[in-house]
Amino acid sequence: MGEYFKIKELRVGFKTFEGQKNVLDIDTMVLNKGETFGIVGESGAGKTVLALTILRLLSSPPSVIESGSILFNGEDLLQKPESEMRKIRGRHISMIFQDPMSTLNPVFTVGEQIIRVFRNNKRISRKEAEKEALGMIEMVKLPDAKNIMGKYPHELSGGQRQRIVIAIALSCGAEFLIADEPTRNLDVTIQAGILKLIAELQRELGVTVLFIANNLGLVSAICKRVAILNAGRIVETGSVREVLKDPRHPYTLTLLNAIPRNKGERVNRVNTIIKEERDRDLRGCRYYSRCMEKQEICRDSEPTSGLILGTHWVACHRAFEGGEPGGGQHTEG
Amino acid sequence: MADSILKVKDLKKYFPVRGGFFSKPVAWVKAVDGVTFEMEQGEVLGLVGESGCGKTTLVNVLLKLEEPTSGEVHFDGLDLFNMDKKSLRKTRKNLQIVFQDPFWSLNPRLLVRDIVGEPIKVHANCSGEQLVKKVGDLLEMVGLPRNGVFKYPHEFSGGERQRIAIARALALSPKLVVLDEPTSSIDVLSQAQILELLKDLKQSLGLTYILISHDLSVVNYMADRIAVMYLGKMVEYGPADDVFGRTAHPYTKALFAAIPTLDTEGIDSIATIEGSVPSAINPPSGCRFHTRCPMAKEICRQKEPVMVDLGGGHRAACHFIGKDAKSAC
Amino acid sequence: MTKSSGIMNSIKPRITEIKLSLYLLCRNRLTRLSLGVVILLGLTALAAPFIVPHPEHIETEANPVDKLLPPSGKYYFGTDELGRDIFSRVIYGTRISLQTALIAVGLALLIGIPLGAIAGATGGMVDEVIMRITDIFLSFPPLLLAIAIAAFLGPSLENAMLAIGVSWWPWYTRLIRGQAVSIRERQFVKAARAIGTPPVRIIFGHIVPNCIAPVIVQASMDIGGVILTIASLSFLGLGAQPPTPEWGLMVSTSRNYFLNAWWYSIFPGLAIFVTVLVFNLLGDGLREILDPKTRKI
Repeated sequence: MGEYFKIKELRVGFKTFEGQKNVLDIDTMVLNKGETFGIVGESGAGKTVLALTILRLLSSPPSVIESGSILFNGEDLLQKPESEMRKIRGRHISMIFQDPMSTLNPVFTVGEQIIRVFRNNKRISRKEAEKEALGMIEMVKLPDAKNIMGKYPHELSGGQRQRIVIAIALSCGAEFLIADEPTRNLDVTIQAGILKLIAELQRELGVTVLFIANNLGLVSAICKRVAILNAGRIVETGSVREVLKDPRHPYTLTLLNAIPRNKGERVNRVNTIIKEERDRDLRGCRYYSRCMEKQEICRDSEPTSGLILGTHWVACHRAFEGGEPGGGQHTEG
Repeated sequence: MADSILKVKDLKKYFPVRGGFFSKPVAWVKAVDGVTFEMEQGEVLGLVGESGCGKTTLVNVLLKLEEPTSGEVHFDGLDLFNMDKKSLRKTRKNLQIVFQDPFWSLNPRLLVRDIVGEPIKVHANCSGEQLVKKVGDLLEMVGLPRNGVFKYPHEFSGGERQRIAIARALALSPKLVVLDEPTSSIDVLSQAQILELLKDLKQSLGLTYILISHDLSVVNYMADRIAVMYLGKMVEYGPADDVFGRTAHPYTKALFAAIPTLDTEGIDSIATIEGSVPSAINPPSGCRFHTRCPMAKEICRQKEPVMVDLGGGHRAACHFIGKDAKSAC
Repeated sequence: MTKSSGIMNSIKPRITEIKLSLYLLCRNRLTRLSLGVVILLGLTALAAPFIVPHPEHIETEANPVDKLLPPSGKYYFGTDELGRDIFSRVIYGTRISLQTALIAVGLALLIGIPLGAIAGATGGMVDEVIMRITDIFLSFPPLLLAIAIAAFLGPSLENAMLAIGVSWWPWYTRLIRGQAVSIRERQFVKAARAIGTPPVRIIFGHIVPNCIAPVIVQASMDIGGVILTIASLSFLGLGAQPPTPEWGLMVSTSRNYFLNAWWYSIFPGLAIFVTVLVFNLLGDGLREILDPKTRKI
């Protein structure tokens, strides 16, 4: 397997005035070139921290990278000096943020903003940059690109803005795209369009996409493989089909049950226990206080990741017990 | 037959677009353009549409946060728009709202006690220990620990903040609660929990809800009746089962198709509607949806469709209802 | 639950807030230093009458034997033309400067905040009238306006405070109004309206607390500016009158002796410099922690 992108034993902490807290604790995560990989978890699970850590954009303090490595094309991003990181951002790894309005500069037209990116990164004339910018806007399937070029961000709709953000992210030929909940706060109809666009671009340009979401439904629509993140740890990972068909971790099940089903079906009753912060400080499983299946062992020892089948890994003490593990019992009721 | 708690008749709200030297209105944004519906005690009305369709304006007018341009609203038998200040204040007790964004709907400088306790302080003489106890009871009711009374909003997560907002709305035991996109800015897990909570509360307290959302799957879960809005107009209205089972308007169909579900195999099974909602300043002629409608014909550009009754209170406004079965899919 | 525990409960989160603010404030070394100096200045001001070595030199008359002596073990900062201990007078001057500055800024806040909040929260005609009056005041340079008012009222320290307060409030009004206009559109204000909260309560219970942060920053920086303005007024003879040991007044009198008694003008001048500097630094630090973006721990 060509290891295009690999995270190894990454631990990130946050300094607060109550002491240092671990927010990210990932043993391994591998992305293959050209695939779309989904990260799913609720807010506060560490999804955005992960994205910002990869790009080394996490402000420090308060954050501290305690240990680990992020290998990209065989080179460790965490060891690179800032000057080299600056060359990697945009040209190799790019990111789409949640809120397109605050990503775009309100005082320049969107065309100007794309042109600037080109001129900052390539030695080309303004004329050429304009032409390329026009091409980028056409690439993200915005009709009437010439007209759009001259508009300010506030004159565009949420969906159009997010398309511009994607155009900017890809304008320097990035081959690795991090999409951090790119459709949050967008209408469902617009969301569908953005998802399609990302999938198409991925197919056409062969970029690798790390897609972050809180909804397994979104991820199942555009990703091949997925990792479920809870309180900074990956609790279950595998191909989307494996995880959706045979979810082994109670947290994955809760996430699955939380999605409102379409057309007449009713939502399944979800585990309504509210998340507790102290889970992070436990020695054991970080899902302990919310878990319906917990046992004594879960409190005292951290579950290690075990292989279920194929590429399907789960970190849960209960997942390997007896004949029919995980699944079944949860989905009803 | 149950009592009707809310009657809305031909409600309009236009915003002036001012220009010129004397800032005279040069155009009108027709945010809500003739909406009529009725609600019964204890039911849930789901109001669906994309952003910019006038949902939020409709709510602001219903709650008298903005003055209507024309139309009538009767709430609980009282004419909401012809009411003196005193009875309006009393009526407000029965008419509450939960806002979309739990990060801005709670005053960040106040303790939860004062946020949830505010309606109690305003409408009932209650303070000190008594207030703390009442707020504690309300927090417990929405599934938060009692000790949350003495905390600031920022100490809670998005879902928990939305619970606080719900507690505030329920503090005066209202009859009608408007839920303005209550789950659109929190994650799916919290969303499921909040919907669950709202459903339980409705049952135990006998509440009536207007649930606003752009996500049909959320509305599907809660609503007894559904109203779909597009550019200030209602395009489809009826009992939830009819709107889901026998979807009549192409816009409603498009909203359904856009939702990714777990059964979705690959991106291609999600459908989108092209383009975005046109400006409400100069809405398209004829049927307002014709610019994005996959089945638009010449007639749609020229003539505005009227609401057609499909039986059982199910109505929709489209020229092709029942006429052209072939293109209707 | 007893009554006292109830009160403790509602105070506890506020204490945590203060602790957190202090923690954030102390993260920056310069802010920590300035906070320390400000506290020191405050303590000095409070204890001034008890700690000065020569309390008799503060108000009383001449001691011609020791006139214009350079700094020594007996007079740390030397003496002035009347033989008074400059160290004692500078220390006591802290009290006068801080007191007058706080009162003047307080007065300006007292006028500025309600006017700005009402203008911003109400909008329409009220806003228009308040803001045009503010504009009239803002069209004069504040120092000139203060000089004019002080001259009109007659020279005294009290009148100087009044003059500064009256010439300073429009800045706060404008600041608060701008904030209030944006806060007014926030959902929690809408929520309060939907509940039926009376307008006065909305303005002072919801809007003001949320736009106060930049005003606190501005006010803490202005304390430095006001101290400077009072010193200027006193320097011009429009503020404190002799024998009050006011820094500006001392610098003003020292002009005549500058060539052969450098200590006379240097020490009061230094006191003004340090005080203004630390309040500005503190203001910078406060801005950092009150800005919700940098505040996130």
